[in-house]
Amino acid sequence: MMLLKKLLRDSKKNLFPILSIIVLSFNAVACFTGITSSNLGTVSDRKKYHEDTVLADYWIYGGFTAEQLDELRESPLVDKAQLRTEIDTDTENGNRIFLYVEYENEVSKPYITEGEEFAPESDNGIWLNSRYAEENDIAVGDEFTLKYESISITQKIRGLIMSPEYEYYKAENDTEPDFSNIGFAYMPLKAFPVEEYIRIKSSALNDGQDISSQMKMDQLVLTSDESDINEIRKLAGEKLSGSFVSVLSRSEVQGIKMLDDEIHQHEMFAYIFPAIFVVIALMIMITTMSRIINESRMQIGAMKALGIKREKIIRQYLAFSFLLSAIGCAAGLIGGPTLIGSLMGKFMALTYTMPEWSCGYSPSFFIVSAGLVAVCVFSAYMSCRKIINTPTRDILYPRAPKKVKKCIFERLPFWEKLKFSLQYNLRDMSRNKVRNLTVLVGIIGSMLLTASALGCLDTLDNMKRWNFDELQKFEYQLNFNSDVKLSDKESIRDELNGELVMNAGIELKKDSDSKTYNASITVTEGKGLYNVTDEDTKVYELKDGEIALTSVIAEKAGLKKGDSFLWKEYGKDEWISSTVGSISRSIGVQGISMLRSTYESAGGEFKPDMCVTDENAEERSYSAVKSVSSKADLEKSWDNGLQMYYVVIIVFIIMTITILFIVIYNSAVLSFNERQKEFATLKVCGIKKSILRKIMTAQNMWMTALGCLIGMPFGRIVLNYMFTSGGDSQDFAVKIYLRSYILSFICVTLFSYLINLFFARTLRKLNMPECMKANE
Amino acid sequence: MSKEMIRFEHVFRSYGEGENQFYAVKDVNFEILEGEVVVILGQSGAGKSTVLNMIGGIDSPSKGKIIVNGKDITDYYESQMSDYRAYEIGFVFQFYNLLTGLTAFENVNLVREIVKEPLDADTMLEAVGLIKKKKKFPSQMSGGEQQRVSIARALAKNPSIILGDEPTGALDSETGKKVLRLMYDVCREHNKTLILVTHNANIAQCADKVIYMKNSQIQKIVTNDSPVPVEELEL
Repeated sequence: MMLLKKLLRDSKKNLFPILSIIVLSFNAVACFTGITSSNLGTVSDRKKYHEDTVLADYWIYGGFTAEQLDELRESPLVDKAQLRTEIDTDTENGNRIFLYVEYENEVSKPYITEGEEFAPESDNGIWLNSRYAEENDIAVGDEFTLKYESISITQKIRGLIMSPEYEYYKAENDTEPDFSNIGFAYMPLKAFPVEEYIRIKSSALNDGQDISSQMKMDQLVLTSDESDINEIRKLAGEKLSGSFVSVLSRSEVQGIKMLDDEIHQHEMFAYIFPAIFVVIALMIMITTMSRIINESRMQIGAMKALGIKREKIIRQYLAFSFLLSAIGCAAGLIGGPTLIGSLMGKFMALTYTMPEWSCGYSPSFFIVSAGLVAVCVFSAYMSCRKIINTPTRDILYPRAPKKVKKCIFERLPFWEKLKFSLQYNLRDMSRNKVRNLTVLVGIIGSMLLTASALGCLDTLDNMKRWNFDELQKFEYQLNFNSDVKLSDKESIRDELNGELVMNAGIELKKDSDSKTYNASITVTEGKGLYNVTDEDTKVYELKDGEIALTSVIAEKAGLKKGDSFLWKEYGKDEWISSTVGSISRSIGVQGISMLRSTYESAGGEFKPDMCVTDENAEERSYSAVKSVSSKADLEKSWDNGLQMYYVVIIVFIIMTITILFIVIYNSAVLSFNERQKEFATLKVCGIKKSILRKIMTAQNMWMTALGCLIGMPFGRIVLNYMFTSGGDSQDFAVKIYLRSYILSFICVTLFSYLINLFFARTLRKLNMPECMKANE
Repeated sequence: MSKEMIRFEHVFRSYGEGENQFYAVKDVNFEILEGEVVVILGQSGAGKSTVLNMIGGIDSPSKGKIIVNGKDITDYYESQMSDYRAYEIGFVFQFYNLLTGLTAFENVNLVREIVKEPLDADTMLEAVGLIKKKKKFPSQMSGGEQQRVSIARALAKNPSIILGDEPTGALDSETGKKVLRLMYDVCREHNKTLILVTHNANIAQCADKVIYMKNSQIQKIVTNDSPVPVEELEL
């Protein structure tokens, strides 16, 4: 205990290296446990959420009756099933609310956050989603009005809800969720004006039959243990023939898929970023621990000479190294989940909706921590053993000069012509490989993080350019109401000199035996306002008869230019065979694109959902138009959606500064401590301080330059990984501009130089008389 | 008549403040002439190393004046002091203080980085008898050889004063004598002032002047008219 106390007192001399071990082990463990605990917590909370709400495994779309439901329920593939209708309604102030009308609630139950349980058999009330209510100051008990075509429905809010189908949702024109302008609600069938709805839907009513039972429900949701969607498709084809349009599994429902992708991305992050810290922490631990122990060489000799048992001496040093790494790891184990984990939960809650965002724990936290502690203790043991095995007499004497031989650089033909400081540093470098390697790894880590952070901005800038200068080269977008005739849309287009655009859902497969993918079809009039871009994200003109397939789907389905494939629109039975005319790229809409003429010649009915134009459409009023968005609105919404990325960039910059400071400063401390006597000797001999400063900073600066160069391509890899690990629903045009590489290089180099300069002040404190004394 | 090289005028050196203040050197006065071999003798803690460090420009007095070669070095700025150490002083350390990563030749040739017109490194190594080992690293040489390289390095700057802080302290008797002889001869030959600090009274016999120190003060200064040749010393 006394020896350990002595060690702790002595630690003042090596305060920075000791703090580096603590801080880096904290960083490594906190980073790993923070991200992982957030992930584990999300996965477990989500599992419970899905179980509590009996979330459907499959969604079958079409128009179904209660009889068909009963028939389907008989299948052994189906566990639970029910019908419901989704109605796209608007509030009085034009916000979009997806209304679910149902007469029973077995599957995909709403999760009640406030108010009464959902009562599907009731004849009144509406259950509104809680985030919309919070954002718009709506409370339980308030009257709430929704409009659908000519129908106006007003009901009292009986409860506030969440739904796992809406873990992620956003309005069409938003880049990121803004919960104040979109929502969803549940309503019992008996509270819904079924008769008016059926009339609008142009269905004939049977006078003798109950009106509610005459309403065809457009969704059939079911739970099943069957994992193959094609089996469910087959079942739907058999039991719901003529009524079934398409089937989606959980992984294809956008509201669920987005969080799936996010969790997957975080799982990747939980390894890649902590790995940088863990590698650096390990290297710092190995170099620092061995240096600290080597500096205590004579003290170890003195302890041996005093008769203290070698096991006891080793034990004290092991306890010391254990203490340092364990403090950092323990702090990381506590701080990771509580700080990073809970912060991530809060950030996730800004975008996603779940009742709870807690943090989980895993045995891997303790394994990683134990591993770090073990490496630290092991490196202390190895250094200590080496010294302790030396005869006491030799330890007590001043250390003999370090055995050296010619380094590789000395074989250079121009070696003799090099300056002293250069020769000195090249030799020192080749003789302190681990220390320099640690700096190199640290710089590579810093450079890749800086390049990724700036590349993140470049990518977002490039994506914005791609979206607004290439794909959507228009000033105004007019969204049509659903019941507008084509001729009315065409007259608006003519008046505004615009272009009509149709987006719809399709199913696509390579051939009749291949897997079916859900995708989109985009049909344009080829006027250059709503475009298709090639693989270099540059606009190209679609030719008549040409079908472009986006690269994301092409890759998934294994298709390339010239291949034939099958596709059909939702609700249609007939598969159309087409050839991939070109491979295109699109940010959010993945599928096929073609001209109106091509679509119509294939027998398609052109149903545009928007008109895009350069003429100012905001000043005009059309009854056929639901909403108008200007380019400025769209760009503003795009920019608002980037908040999350800025957080990532700030985190990267903090990580970079931490790594750079610890690695460079620690390296400077170790290198200075090692060469202190030499520097003092040189100073006594009359060498100028400026030359000493140059010698001191040169190695770190060389390592900085080398690390920056090696780190550059890694920056691109990490950035690519970061964006692509988020799933394939969006195609990111990952880009790092040359200026960002240069800027990253300058930033890392400058910061490294400043740290070196800051440390070089230590030269002032160099104790020259000390060098006159013995070596230690 | 030799000219005056070094003069100490009422020099004090204290460390610490208040109750913790203590004097390493107290009111020291002496003169050293050009080309003299001087030994500063005293027990551990007598203040002899502090005096040497102040002559060498690596420590400065708290009070008093130090005149070297007619110039008061007491108020030198750091850059002036660097130049002073570079051009006037050659240090020989007890533990040689060679740069372990440099060969013997490079350790001597290092002075090219320090002074404008150094003496030739090969000539210096020849002078100390190590020309054949010029490519050896310190770890490949004995203690005596390392100390000879250290002497060559000190001489290569062609300084007017050579300072040695227990230069034979880490060497065996025979090697110590050889090293001392070498320093002695070279200084005599080139008319350098040699100042040695030691607690070994026997070494004092070869000096022209012996400054005895005790309790931070000069006890006495003895001029030796007939110094004993180094090879006759009992170390």
